[in-house]
Amino acid sequence: MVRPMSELPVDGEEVTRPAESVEAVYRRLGRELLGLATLLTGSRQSGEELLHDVFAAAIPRWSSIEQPEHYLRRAIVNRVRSHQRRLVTAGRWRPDPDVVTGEPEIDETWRLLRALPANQRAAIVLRIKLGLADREIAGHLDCSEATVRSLVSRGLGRLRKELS
Amino acid sequence: VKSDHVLTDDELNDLVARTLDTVAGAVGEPASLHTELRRRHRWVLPCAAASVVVLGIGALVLLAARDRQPLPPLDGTGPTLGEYGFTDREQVAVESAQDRMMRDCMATRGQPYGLQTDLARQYRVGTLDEFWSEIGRTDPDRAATLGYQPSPRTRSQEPNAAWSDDPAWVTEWDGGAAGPTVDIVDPRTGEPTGASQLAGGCFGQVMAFLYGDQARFTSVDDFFLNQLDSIQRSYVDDPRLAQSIAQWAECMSGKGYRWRNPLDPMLHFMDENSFDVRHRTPSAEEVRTAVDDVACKQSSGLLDTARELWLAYGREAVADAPDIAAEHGLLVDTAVQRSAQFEAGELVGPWRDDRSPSAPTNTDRCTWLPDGTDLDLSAGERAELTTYLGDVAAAVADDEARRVSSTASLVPPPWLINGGACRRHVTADVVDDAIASLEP
Repeated sequence: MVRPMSELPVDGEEVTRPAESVEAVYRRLGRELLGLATLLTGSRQSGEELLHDVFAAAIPRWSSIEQPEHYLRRAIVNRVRSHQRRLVTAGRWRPDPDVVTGEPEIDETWRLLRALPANQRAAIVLRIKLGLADREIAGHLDCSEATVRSLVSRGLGRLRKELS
Repeated sequence: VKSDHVLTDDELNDLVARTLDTVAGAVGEPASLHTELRRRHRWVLPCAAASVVVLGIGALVLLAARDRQPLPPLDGTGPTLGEYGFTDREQVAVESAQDRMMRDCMATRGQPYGLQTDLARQYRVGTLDEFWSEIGRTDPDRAATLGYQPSPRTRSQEPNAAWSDDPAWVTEWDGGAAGPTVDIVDPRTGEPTGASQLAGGCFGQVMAFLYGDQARFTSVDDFFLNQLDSIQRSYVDDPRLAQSIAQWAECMSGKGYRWRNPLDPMLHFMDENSFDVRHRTPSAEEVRTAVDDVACKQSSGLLDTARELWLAYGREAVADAPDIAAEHGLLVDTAVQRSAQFEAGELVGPWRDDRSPSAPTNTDRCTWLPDGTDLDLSAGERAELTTYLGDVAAAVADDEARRVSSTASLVPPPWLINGGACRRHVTADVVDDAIASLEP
């Protein structure tokens, strides 16, 4: 709500702000967070859109975010599921190119990871890349810990079968 | 990579960990928020997502300090870039036709498909205020009813969400990740940009049908959109806009507000969750502020300045690459024309001859309607279905047993998912009901 004029800061009055601006944090963390978002979504383009969504949503509340790095990373993980549903439409007209590393073994493994169902891939990324416990992963994916174990097991099993 | 050796758990975990680290490190720098915004706004995402990003990007851009470029004259002549792109009405028409084409094509491949509602299409196109991303709310009527909400219903149900994780469905959709692609190049030089677009499945067929050459259109359109991005970056840094913004702020101050940036009041009344709420009712204070805000944008000349600058930078962009602008215009005209012909039944897509054995007899439900969804047919489709049902009715009437066995040779429209089932046990009553349902 709009505050009365008497409560608004006057020119020169100190306003509480995080130490870094949105732009500075974007420049400093953008690449790392894009990497995480790409792994979780399986797509660089989807990852980039997720990253931008998270930053855009953070702007209005920027002054109240004490640890932007922690907040943004959590927001990316938490938004993966809803974001992917929303991008069903986006993928229709703007499909994205794949990430290519130039290392055949890595590229093939990434291709197989991308082909996994989204929940299996997300569970693997959260466990192996971020090192989260099953309980935390279950919270992010809105499922039970047993389901997390099943998702990881099935995902890795499929990779093993394809790679062997 | 594939070998006879079965990976141990440790080997597999190590390979996956290395892959995740390598891919995360290979993604490169993210594009500017501003660039992505423009793409989303014009093409793909529902209004809610675009609006969130528009706000964020607009704020960032306005806050950013940039090098000044020579300023284009406001009294220049010549075409402006917008003349070579889709109008809002054209974009809605083409997206609507694309939607029906995808449904047709997916049906021939035995795959379900839900049409976007007209409402959803309109949310994506043309419902944001003029210069929404640059200076916020500018429409007085929306200010008086919506406050700072972009629309009364900012999200629509994605009709294909239920099956979008199915690899088989995705493969038919666009060929999947391993499907064919087209490279996106600089249309002036042919130099690859490093990006590509999937070109398989129904998506590839529809793009080729609409634009003739998906690779060329994608490259020209990419260049065109980049030009729009460039215009907006220059535009928001123009000192003439800054001067008008200062006049707007003075006007707002006279009404008791202290905002310096025209996006500030919008950001003030929005929070992260507001886009998840349908039909949010703005407070009287929000509405009053929005009305005052729009009035100041008009009286201070900010809105007029925004329009003049947009045209000026658009003229500059066309002068920079007139051939590409003209080519984009032709491609747009082609898509608009072919969409209209498709909707009128004058053109059918190549997928009509691409029927798989599994479609459309993939269900034993006989509804006569496309996939049991609401009847939402173009004029051409309506005529096609009417003709087909007329043929069925005639065949049933001629059949002694009043059964449909004699209609087996009739081919239903490919998008009529349940048409095949109806061929097996249709009766005169069912046909009569279906024909009646087509009447206005």
